[in-house]
Amino acid sequence: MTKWVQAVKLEELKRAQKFVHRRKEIAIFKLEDGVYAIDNSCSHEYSPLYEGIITADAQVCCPKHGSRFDIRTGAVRDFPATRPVSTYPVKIEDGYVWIGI
Amino acid sequence: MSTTETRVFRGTGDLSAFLASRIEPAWMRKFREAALKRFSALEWPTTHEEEWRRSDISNYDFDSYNYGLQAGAAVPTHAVDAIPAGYAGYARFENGQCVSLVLKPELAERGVRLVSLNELFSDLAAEEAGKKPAVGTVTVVAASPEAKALENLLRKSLENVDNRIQAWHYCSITHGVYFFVPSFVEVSEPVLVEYYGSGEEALLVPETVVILEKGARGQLVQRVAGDSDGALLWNEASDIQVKDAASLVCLSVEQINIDSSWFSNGSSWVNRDASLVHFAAVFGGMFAKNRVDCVLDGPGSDLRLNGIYFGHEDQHFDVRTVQHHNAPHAVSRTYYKGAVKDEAHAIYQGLIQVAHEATRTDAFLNDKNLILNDGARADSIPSLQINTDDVKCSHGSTTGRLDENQVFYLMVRGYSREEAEELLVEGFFGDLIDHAPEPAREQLRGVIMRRLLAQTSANGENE
Amino acid sequence: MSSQSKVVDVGDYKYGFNYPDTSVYRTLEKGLTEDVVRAISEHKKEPEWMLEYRLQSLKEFHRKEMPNWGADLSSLNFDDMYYYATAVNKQEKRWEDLPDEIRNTYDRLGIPEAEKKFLAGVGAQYDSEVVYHNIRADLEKQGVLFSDPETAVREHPDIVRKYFGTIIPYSDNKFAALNSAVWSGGSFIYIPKGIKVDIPLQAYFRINLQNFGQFERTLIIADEGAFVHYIEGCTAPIYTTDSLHSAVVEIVALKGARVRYTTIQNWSSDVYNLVTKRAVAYEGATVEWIDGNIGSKRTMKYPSVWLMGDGAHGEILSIAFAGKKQEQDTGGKCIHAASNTSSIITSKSISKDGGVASYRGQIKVEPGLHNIKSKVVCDALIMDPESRSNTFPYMDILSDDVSIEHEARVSRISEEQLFYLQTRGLDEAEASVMIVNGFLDPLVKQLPMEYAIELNRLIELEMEGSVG
Repeated sequence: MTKWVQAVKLEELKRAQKFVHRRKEIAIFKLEDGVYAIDNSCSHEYSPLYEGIITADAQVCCPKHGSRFDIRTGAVRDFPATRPVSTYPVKIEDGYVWIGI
Repeated sequence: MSTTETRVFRGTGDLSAFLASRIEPAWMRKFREAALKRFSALEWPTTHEEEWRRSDISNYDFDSYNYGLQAGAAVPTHAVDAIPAGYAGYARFENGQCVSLVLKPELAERGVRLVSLNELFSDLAAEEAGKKPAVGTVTVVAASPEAKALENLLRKSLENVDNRIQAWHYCSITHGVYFFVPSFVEVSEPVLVEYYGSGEEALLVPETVVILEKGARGQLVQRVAGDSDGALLWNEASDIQVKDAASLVCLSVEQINIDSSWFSNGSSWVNRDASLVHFAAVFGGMFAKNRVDCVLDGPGSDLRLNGIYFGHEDQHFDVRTVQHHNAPHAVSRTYYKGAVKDEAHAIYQGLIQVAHEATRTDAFLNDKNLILNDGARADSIPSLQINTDDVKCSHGSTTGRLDENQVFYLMVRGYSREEAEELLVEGFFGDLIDHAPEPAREQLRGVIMRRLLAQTSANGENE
Repeated sequence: MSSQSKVVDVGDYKYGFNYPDTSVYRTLEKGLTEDVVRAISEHKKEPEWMLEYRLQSLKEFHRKEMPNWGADLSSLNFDDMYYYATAVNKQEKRWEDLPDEIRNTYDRLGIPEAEKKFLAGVGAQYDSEVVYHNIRADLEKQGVLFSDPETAVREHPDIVRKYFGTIIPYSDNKFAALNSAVWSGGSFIYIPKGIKVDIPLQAYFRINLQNFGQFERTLIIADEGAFVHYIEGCTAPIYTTDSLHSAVVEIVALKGARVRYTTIQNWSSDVYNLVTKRAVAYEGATVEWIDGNIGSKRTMKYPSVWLMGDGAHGEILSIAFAGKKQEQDTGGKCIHAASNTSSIITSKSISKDGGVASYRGQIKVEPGLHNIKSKVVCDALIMDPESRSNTFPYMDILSDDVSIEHEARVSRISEEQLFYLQTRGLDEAEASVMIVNGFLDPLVKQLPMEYAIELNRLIELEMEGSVG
């Protein structure tokens, strides 16, 4: 059961930013083919993924220990993380980015 | 004269104004100012600090909460209050207002005190100003040993502050209770202290002070709860001193609603040959950071820390205990047990710290976690810091699910799976609950059973 | 240059001798700059991708903060250190072909003799470069690769590129970034499918220079069903100023493989030993770390096993001895990321003469897994009131079908035990040594005999004059 939460105004959307809903931190990324949302907290040691470097092939490197995740699927691409991060559905409506939680 | 404070303060920027509005003796004003100074010098804890690494509070806007609901003259009459069965006294606060305060008269006669801090402060302030007290009969005068002991303990606890949440607590105490037992007086039944909160975006800062003079005995049960709706922020602290050869049993039950948040700190000091049994039960809040910090401060002191926590839905608990051995020949034991279900995340951090002087320390710590379903999470971090050689220190930790063999055994005996699991969870916590003050045991068992049986609401939230 | 390097009293440390600096090449200045990194890469005639990797790592090193936990590193000065020096222009396969000073060093350490007796291959690193390398001919024929990593980068770039820096990314921590920027020497081992190397391969690391940083890099790949036991030893002269040893060791144990890695770390008391060691164990694979830390000024080292495949097993045995002015911050990590995996960590530490021994470790179980077992046991002995012992275990458990146990004990030598042995005619010192050896015995048993004897002897030396 997805509940849609209004996250950010589309025109204010940055390349990467975090959004908080009830203590849950979600990292929102603006890629060439759309907007994606994954857990902000790295599945390795809690570091904030929205602060990481975004590679050309839509991966984000954790700023603290270098784990890499696929922004579109949440899959782990590189150690030290061993577990994917959750992904969240995103829709754009009324000029806002909505996240399904 | 009216001491009713109607102004509502908001945010840490209003702290100075809040302090100025208080009707308190000079030493308490100074104490709050010192706390404010400490608060200003510190930063909010971040995940860069080891203790806070797993508990991120960066998303809290601590300035968005209202506070300052001072009691004062609004205290209702005491006479109508009944003491709940099995207890020696009863204090109840609703949103900072003291609505009930009773102690068995024979105890009051023997010098036992159960008083509201706000009432006590305004009495002392009035005495200082040479005026008559605002309400009722004066129970504590400035020259009394209990007033001195209170002042000393608060000062000592402030010195022990190591993070901003704690410093914030001491400068913004909104209400609280002082339980005092004089030398060699025994209070065989516990006193009950209830803090109740309701409303939105409100900050409640209760302080419980317990002082047992030499050779005294006492018990205290504290329960914190609130309406099922509304997001409150609780910043509680309990400061305890058990003086030479005294003995205290203390139970703290936290049952706030799942949209509220909980911080609990404070320091306990156990003096020569004294004993403290502290029991913490953490059930409520979407976020709870519960710290029990105890100093074995005299030779031969004895400490037992019991604790249970049970997280469900999307709760985040961070439970910490510290057995700080400062003196030789002291004994401490910690037994904590936790269960997590749904998507709850519980962190237990337990530290045994032995100072260089604390030879012949005998310290033990054990943490057991029950993970009731996949997706729930339990972290266990027991640690030892030992600064001398002549010690016996150890800790243990286990984490797992219910033993399938035991479930099977019970099912063979005719129980359904659900019943078998209930029995095993009850048994898991049962041996600790048997150490809680008697009148509170049934209630603890009830909370655990309800939580075990609760179905997760639609999205793990109730909005 | 060498005439300035004053050697202080070496006391009990029998490896405290040094030889004059005969470096044929070293980076010109102290300190860590892009020029230094480029110079190292150029001297090694590396491919472009490795230089790129080094420069990225250097940036990361400068970006990263020092750890705010663990051993006290406040007097470690990255600017007062040489990052690269080599005493030879080419690597030898025969000890006789090495320059006299270097050969004498290894003779005194007993390496050539050990090679003859019980090793299948030896690599010897002197400051930055591996000066000697040899492997038994029959193993070479079976396709076993054992060389320094530079050779591997040239000759087996496909294997190196597939694994290098994937187990420990350069951004893992500040010291991994440092190593990734200036790495030199180390070992590269590849064991082909099904090959079991039944006697150990050894690498010996020696720092000779003063104010020097040694950054070896080791990559071990055990292909399906293979087995290898790798042993490393390390020593350095005693100077009055500090040196730094910061290695990165990556191990890959593919399906059904088994890798055992043994370290007897006996750096002199002025070496900062800050090492990242991590292994990945796939389906049915086993990785064992046996990690003995006797020397160094500060050690921070937590060998780890990432259990990635069903049925994988990780085992870590950690021995630490923290003597005067020493801080041993050691332990291990096992990350369970697959079902039916198990791990055991056993730690034994001794602190003496004001030394600080800390166990630091982690067990993590990812969600949705079944049948996970882990047991961690830490035992610490404190020999006198001035010494300290810490235990910091972390257990992060996200699955329910698990059995996770941890226990730790701290105590001193019991008076009853001492008394008992004394009634049997031992004096107090002998009794203490015997009790300490008994305390370590379960771990020492895991070592090849020659190393077990060596370790017992080292402990005896450390225990000298330790009555009380």
